Amino acid sequence: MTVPPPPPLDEVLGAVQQVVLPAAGASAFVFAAVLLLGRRFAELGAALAVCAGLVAGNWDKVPMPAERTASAWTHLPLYTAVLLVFGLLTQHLVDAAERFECLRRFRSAFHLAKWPTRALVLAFAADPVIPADPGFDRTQFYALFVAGSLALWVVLDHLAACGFPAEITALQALVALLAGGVMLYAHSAKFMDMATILGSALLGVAVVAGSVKVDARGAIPAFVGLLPGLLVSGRVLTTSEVPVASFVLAAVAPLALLPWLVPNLSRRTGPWPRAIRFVSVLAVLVAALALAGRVETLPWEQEW
Amino acid sequence: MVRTFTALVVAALAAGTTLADSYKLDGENTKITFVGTKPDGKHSGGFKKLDGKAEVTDGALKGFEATIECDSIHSDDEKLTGHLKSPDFFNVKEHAKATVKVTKVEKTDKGYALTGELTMCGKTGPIELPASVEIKDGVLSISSEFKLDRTKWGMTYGKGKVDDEVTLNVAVTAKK
Repeated sequence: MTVPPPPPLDEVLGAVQQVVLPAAGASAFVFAAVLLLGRRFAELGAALAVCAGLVAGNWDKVPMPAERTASAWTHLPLYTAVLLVFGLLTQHLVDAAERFECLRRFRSAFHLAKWPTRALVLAFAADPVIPADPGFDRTQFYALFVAGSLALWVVLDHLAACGFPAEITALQALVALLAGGVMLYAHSAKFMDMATILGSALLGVAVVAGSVKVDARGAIPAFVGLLPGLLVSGRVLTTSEVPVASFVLAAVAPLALLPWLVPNLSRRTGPWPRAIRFVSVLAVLVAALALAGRVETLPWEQEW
Repeated sequence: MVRTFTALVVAALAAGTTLADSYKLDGENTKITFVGTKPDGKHSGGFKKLDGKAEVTDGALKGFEATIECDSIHSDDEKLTGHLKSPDFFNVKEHAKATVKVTKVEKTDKGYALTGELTMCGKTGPIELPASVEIKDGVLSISSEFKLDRTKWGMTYGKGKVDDEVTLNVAVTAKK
């Protein structure tokens, strides 16, 4: 395996100027602004921040569609918004039951209902973001997509709640940015741009969450909503030799954190556990990129 | 009397009759090629498969209709062909066909003006192209070169890096 050459500097600077800085800057600014109201608004702030980042990153290059068409990927923004809203609602009900005396008797019910509600929302809302012909049996694919998305949400949400939300948000940003590389190998700059915008918006949230040590779980549904859907459309709608495994590995890379759900491991926050978590996710992403790089080249590797 | 009446009827029918011919268009007799430009270069390509017909009435072209198979797009670079098929440009997996319908043919000082509509990437928009048209010995020849703003059909990728206007060339040499 050969390591691909780095992209031309002007393209990197252009992407930083047009996408990364606006998206990360807007999300960091909005998150910080909402946090001025109090730390209990952190989840709402993270959700609003990632939305602001997605809008700001989309401003110049406009890869994300404003209108929905028959194309599955044009439904991703609305799908993501639905997940963000229900993510906040279900979490806020649990938090409210903990905080307010009058709701305390519903605490168990809210806790029990949180994940089934999210699973149901995923199951109902995912239909339009799965292409009509995904290349496999659509019903089975639908079930796998919903199950995979739910697994991502559970793992990320649980680990973020265990005391390292900034790290988990930064890992989501890393996954989104490198998944963009798989999309680029598959000849889709549009989907790569969308993944880069998502990664940048999450980066802004991670910086603020890390700086002031607040909860950033509100942003997780943006990752769960956008990235798997983008990778599915990226696989189905592009014409390249990039194997399915590349797309799947990029989509499920955060599941490498699954062992950290074990109670004894989940609260380890030192530098070594952090490094192991980072390397385990990165290894999956490198495998995804290596598989793609074996059969395709990046645009700047071959002049055209 | 009967003979005269019959002759009159035949003469009247003949006067009202128009001679309509249909010319089949396909990838062999109809070449659609393009040149896309960018600040530091250009690329050419075309479509290999299409199907349609041109209508000629009384020796004059009345219009034509063609369905182009977008997946048959080719270019001077294999990687570029893959990119052109992606949702950045033609999105061929979701929009497998493009259709062009020319419904009005007008004579101009320099040749002909063909007016109609193009449906591509799920969007329909008007087109007007200058052309030279010739029908001789049962062979219909149409030649046209014009510019098309790709962004009007939703191909907004690469603004600033790839020029919005693409030069298209249509060359038809179809037999009756």
